[in-house]
Amino acid sequence: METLTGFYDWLGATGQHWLPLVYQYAIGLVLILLGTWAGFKTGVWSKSNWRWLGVVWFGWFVFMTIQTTLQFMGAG
Amino acid sequence: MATIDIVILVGYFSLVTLFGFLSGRGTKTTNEYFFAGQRYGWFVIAMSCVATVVGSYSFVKYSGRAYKYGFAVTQNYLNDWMWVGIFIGAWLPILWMSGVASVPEYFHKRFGPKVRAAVTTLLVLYMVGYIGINFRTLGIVLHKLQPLTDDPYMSQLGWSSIVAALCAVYVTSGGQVSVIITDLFQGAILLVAGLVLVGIGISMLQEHGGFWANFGPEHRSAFTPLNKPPDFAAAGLFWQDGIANTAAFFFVNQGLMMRFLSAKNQAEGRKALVAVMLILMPLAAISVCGGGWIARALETAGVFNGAGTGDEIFIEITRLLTKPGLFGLIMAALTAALMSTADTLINATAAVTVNDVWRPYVRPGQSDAYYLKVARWASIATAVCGILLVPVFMGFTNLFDAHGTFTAVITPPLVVALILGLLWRRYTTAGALATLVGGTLVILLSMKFSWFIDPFSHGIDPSGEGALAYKYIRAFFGIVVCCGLGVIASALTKPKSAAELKNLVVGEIE
Repeated sequence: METLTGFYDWLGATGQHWLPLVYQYAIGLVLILLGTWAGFKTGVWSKSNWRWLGVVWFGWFVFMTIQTTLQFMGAG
Repeated sequence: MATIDIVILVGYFSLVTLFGFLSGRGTKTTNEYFFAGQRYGWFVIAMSCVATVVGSYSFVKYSGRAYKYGFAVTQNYLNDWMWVGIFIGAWLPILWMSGVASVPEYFHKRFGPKVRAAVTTLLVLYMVGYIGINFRTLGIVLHKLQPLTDDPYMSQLGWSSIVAALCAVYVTSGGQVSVIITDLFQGAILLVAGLVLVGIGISMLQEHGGFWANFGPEHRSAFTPLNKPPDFAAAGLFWQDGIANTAAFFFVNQGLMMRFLSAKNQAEGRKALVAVMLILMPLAAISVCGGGWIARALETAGVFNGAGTGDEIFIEITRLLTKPGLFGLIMAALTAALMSTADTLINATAAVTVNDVWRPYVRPGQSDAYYLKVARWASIATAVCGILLVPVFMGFTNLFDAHGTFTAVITPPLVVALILGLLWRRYTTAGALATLVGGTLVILLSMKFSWFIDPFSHGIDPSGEGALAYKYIRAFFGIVVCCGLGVIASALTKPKSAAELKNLVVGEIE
């Protein structure tokens, strides 16, 4: 518990500006990859539907770009 | 309020109620009552979804938080996309292929009747609670605008009751058709009204150097720090809103599920979801948060003082920026947001009552006309329950806290059970029960013994005792506990065969 408290104290002191973004990228990526895998398993990304997979990834990049840009502006 | 504003507001209420009542006159079957005959294209579904997703509390709470935390409040809307892949790749095809009519029915087919009973209980609590918080918000707002009596408590309750009665009238009459048609109209109204307010504010700020010059860098970040401040730390919001709440709203919310099943086919449902999340939700974020951003910039410019306004910032800034007439119209948009969320949930609760309680257990084997009658009575009963919850939510001084506490308890077990059920073939009935029943109990215990959450807190200050401690990061604790219990119980029990899981789990779709 002491070690955990120390780790959280360190988190509080460093990386406060960028950690939320890293967090967002990491867990968001896991969910998007899970969705991609699920779509292949269910056959949603079939030959006639493959562009929907592109839409899923494109959308994720759009939102991450918006959030990264805002975070840069906040840092400025 | 000026007389013209009162006329506009009353006219708006009357128009929506009449519109909803008339559009649903042709509803003659339960399929039409719950799924509008599955005839709508993506645009109607998408636009009506916006009004459903944006509740009246959205304008109130997000404007208040946007004033305080700037662009960081957008994470509540911009985090939704993470779930699109699983929704399109897993949930939509399983919904269409399995032919289920409700979320509890999916759980029944996937895990059996005990799990269905547990899900029905949690789901009804979730939906009726959501209706209650929406009615509560409207009570606050309309009392502020036009008190009904000198007693604020009775005035707020009175306003909540009036709007609940109006919603109940058209939902009871027309069901899903009325809900979709009124929500289509209300979605457009609330988007336009919020964006007009932002436009007027930006225009006013031109005389003071412009919006950007008055909106400091400290308000431009996409996130607050990871574990500060306790009531808006990025980690807490991420788990409570981005993960638990968003997944609950798009996957577990019976109202949204029924909306997507009202589409002509799966492809239209897919298009609707992408349109909602990629285009309409960012616009909705600007619409509901914009009042707070404008208020902050105007305060920096010395034109406005928002200190002490709290959740009323949206009303105060609207009053400053608009003239009588337009003020009434924007307040109508606020009520539009409420009515459209509440009507969806009233219809959805009626669907769960009929499909998951009445039809299988209370009076099986009756005619469709009989179940349609039950659905209409259930709609009225749901509206009444929502009103009865209003005094409970009046116990919270901050609406955002009330909403956060409520969803942090209810949503993790439901979300974890559904996502594991969709994606993991090895997830068993015992696992689902452990997640739903065990998870809920442990989360409730954490409201008594908040030290349970200490190791999961990311260093966020508890900022309170018992149920008031760790309001948002409690969702993370809940998700970890629910996943853990589900995985352990599944590992100890035998999974269903591939034939039993046909069209119910990823990897078993035909």
